[in-house]
Amino acid sequence: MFRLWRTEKRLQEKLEAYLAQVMSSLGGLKDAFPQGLDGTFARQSDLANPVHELESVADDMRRELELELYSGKLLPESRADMLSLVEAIDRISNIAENIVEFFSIQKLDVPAALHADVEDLLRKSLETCAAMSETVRLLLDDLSKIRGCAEEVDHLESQCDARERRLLRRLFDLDLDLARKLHLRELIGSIAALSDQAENVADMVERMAVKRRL
Amino acid sequence: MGKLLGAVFLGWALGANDAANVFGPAVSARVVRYRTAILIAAVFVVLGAGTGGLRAIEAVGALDVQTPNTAFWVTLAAALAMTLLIALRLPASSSQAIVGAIVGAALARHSNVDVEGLTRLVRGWVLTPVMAALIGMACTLILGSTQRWRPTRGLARLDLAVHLALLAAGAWGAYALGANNAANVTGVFAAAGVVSPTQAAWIAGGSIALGILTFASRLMYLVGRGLVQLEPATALVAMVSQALAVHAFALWGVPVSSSQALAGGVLGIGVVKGVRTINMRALLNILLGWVATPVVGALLAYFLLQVTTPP
Repeated sequence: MFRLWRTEKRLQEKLEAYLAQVMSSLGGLKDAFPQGLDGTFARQSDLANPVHELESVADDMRRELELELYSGKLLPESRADMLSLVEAIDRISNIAENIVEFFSIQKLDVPAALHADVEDLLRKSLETCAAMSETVRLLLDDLSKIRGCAEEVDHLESQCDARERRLLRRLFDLDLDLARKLHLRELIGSIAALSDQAENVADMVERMAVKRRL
Repeated sequence: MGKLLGAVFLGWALGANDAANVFGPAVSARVVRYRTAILIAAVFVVLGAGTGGLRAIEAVGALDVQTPNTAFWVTLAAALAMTLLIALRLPASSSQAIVGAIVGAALARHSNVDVEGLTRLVRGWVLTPVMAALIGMACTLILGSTQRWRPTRGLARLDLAVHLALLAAGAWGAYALGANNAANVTGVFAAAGVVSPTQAAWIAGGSIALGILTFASRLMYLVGRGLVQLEPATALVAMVSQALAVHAFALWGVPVSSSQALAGGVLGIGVVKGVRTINMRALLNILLGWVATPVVGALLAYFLLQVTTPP
């Protein structure tokens, strides 16, 4: 029994550490984003993507977590659900890395008129991801609180959707050439994809909790 | 004592056939390993037969007077009936096979069967799936309505609780199976005075355990997957319903079918949850079991006794 308790504890620790690392990747994105907007990446072509390393560490932690899941004491159904969940969380840090690449590799120049709205969309997307992280944490802690937390994620994601639509409307009202507009639309879509993916993860967690009700 | 081989054969067939009803849902849901399941089932079936099987042994023994010779042919006929039905992929219940064989043997010998006792047993067969279904419905309703008051837990702890609960339910089901069905295996030998009722109980338990340990694998996976696909929590309710119904009938001294109890339990869960957990074929199998198994057992016993008894 003590061994089982220790296994559960270890799984919880690894999941929390992984979530913390994914949130660090998002923190890296948050820190790097103003530099992207003000053209720092465009001016310094040798500037590395700071999210890349954080995402790479998260990948290593994900593999460790997956090994823990295979050797752990979860029921096969729970194990399969957890593995899918970890994969879905992994996509969030990948998206974060891709967003910075719009500046570090593609040297995208965001018009100043859109800066405030783009930053606002990112802030809301990151808020959605933070709520998602809390929802996942509850999975190994308290299944009964998941529903409320998942609803919060859903609510935040809806706000992101509204911001994304407003931003796209403003973008296409600007007097820019179509190629640049499409490029910017891709950036905006990627930022919104963070919250979409966070909502997917929260939905998965909610389904896992509901499945375990009789 | 060599006549007891008929009983051992029947016990072996019973164990091979019925272990699946006890642990099948948990094994096919991949929560409990097959090896763990058969070990626990074997131990608890022996305990159940040895400590709780006497009442049903007396009930089966009281159906008709037996001699060592008729007891042998009756158990052999029941075992052959079960083997034949399993080979034909039809439901086989040892309780129904042995009672059919006792009646067939009585007809061959022009002996009188205790009609009151027989009616009591047949009533038990019909009530088994009904009772298990009601238990399944009650358990599902209770667990569903107490959801919000249960201590909240994380996924890993809940999984551990379900795992342990399934092991306990399987052990209980095996105990109930032993207590209920020991009578089918050696009840007639106790009636014939070949062994004492206590010896009959332990011999029955041992032979059922032998069947579980050597030949339960094919059906173990079939019960869960062929009949219904159960989630761990549903499997738990189905197993508890089956164990409780079979145990209750063991206490009343009525040997019943664990397959029909399991099907009843699963049906009850489906009724409450509003989903189809069982197909028409499974229901048809129950009806067929009530008729086909005792008829085949009776015909075989009648034939064997006609052939082997000098005029």
